[in-house]
Amino acid sequence: MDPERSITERIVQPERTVGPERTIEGVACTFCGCVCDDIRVTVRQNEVIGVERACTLGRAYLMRPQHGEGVTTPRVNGKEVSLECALAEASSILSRSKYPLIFGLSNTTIEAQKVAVRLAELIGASIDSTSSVCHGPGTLAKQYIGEPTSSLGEVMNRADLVIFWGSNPAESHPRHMSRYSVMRPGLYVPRGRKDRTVVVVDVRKTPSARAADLFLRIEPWSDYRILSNLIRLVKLTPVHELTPVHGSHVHWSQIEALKECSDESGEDREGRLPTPDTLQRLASLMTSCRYGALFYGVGLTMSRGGMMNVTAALRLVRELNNFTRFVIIPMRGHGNVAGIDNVLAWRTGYPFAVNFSRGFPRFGPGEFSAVDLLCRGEPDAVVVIAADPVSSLPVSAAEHLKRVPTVVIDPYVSPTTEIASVVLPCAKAGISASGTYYRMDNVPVPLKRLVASVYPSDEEILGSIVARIESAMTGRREVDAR
Amino acid sequence: MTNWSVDHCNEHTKSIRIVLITGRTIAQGSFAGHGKGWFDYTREVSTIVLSEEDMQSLKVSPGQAVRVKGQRGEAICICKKGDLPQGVGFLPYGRTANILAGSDTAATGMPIYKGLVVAVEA
Ligand code: SF4
Repeated sequence: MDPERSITERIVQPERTVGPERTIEGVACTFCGCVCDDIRVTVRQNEVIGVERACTLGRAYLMRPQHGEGVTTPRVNGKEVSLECALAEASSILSRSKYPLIFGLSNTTIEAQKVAVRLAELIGASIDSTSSVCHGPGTLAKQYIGEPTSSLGEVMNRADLVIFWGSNPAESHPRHMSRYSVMRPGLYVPRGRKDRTVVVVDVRKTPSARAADLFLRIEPWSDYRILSNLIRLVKLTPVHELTPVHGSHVHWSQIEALKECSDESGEDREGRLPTPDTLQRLASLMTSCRYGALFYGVGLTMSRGGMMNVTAALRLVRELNNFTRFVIIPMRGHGNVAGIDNVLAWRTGYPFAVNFSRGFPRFGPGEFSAVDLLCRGEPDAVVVIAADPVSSLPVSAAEHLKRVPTVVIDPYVSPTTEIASVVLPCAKAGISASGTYYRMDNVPVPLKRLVASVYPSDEEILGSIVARIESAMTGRREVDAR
Repeated sequence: MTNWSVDHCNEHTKSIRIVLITGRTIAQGSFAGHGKGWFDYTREVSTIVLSEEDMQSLKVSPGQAVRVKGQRGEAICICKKGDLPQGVGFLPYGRTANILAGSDTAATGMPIYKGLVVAVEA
């Protein structure tokens, strides 16, 4: 595709390459935070016709037809219009608005995210990502405690104790266990699963719990209490007693003792509350492993006191580093939700819920976060990029979206595009648009453009809106000067 | 484990109070990947999983409709039996969960999606 062709020209004169089937190796799946980049994709005539190695979720996402059921034409108030006209209307809505909100951004490239931050600065908007409704409280906790962390590659090569707390990777990140954390043999755990001990702590017995060596069923709202108890137990452990035994990564005696202890107390392996004895043994398992990894999910962040839950988990891991190497990694949900946290932090100093209404960035979870702003009915215009807030936010927040002008940039039809004032169809990141995604461990993964698209990328659309608003502002300043 | 349901069981209306956990399921995730307009997606996100004991107290069987009342709204769900402790229910993420979730974020930006106290009526 000729990059010189303007984005408005491209949608009028679609370019479709016709050719034989092509198989592309090393494709990154952008559905969840694992961003698996070993997928094999077969394409024919600009459509993905085969996907190998991906999980059910990844396959469904990558195979979703690009143009058939998607948003095919830009729309303004439900009427099909040219891209030029839709861009002009979007720019005019945003130039007029006094307190706009930019939301979404977790399923788009970091290149587009950078332009979105520029747009927020230009129009004095609040900018928030879906991070605030998934791991936002955890991010706040990290600001207080810090995050002893590593890459998933390090976990794969070293971890002999893997704990999933409030997370169900078998359903939310189906390849996490097989590709990074549990099954795969690593440098210091050559037998893969056999060299690792897996513990799942959750309120319900999830499919992931069935794959674990030990499942601790806990009461709803008890995470903070249990994590605090573990911190106390770890702190009481004399360091010299628990020097890890080098050359051996097997904790079978300990895990068996732990299971027995659960059985004795009448709380079988699927037991309810872990007893003090269970916690004591879990604490010694943690302090004596060679390399431990705690993956926490939205089970910690989405329940009451989410921030305090994660604070306790981070403190626990910090304490554990007095004994052994222990890391903590959040199980980020959307493909590039880690990316928007990073981009916002580089650009503004804050990871989410940032407001530019005074011309400089201010951080305000609860004040400038999307759910709070929308529930209070404050924004007078909303830009939604690669998200579906009508389906994914509480109803009272979604209601406000129906009352104000909304500009939606999305490759597909969704309940949000249905209510939007301006719909701008775009190319799908990782399929018809290249760029970069950040994996859940903040490792950047480059995305390939697999097929040509008639649609511009999110980055191009946002860039065009920014250019229009900037030129209108310059024009206005010149008139004022005269 | 606190026995929420028995504490709050109302014999006349066949109503119980449970702690509702919302979360991802493979079906919900793949339907979301395909496009949310699908009938199957709507069915998946409106299916509440209850423990055997709670289904008995409500006198409902799998596939029957129940009314779930949250702080902010209520929704009709299809019930399904699952491996859950008594007094705990599970609902996949989606529009139904968003009807039941409140909007208070306790100054974190995050409404509560796990551990919602809801009433379930047969
Ligand atoms: S685990 Fe996530 S990134 Fe990997 S293939 Fe499945 S959906 Fe895609």
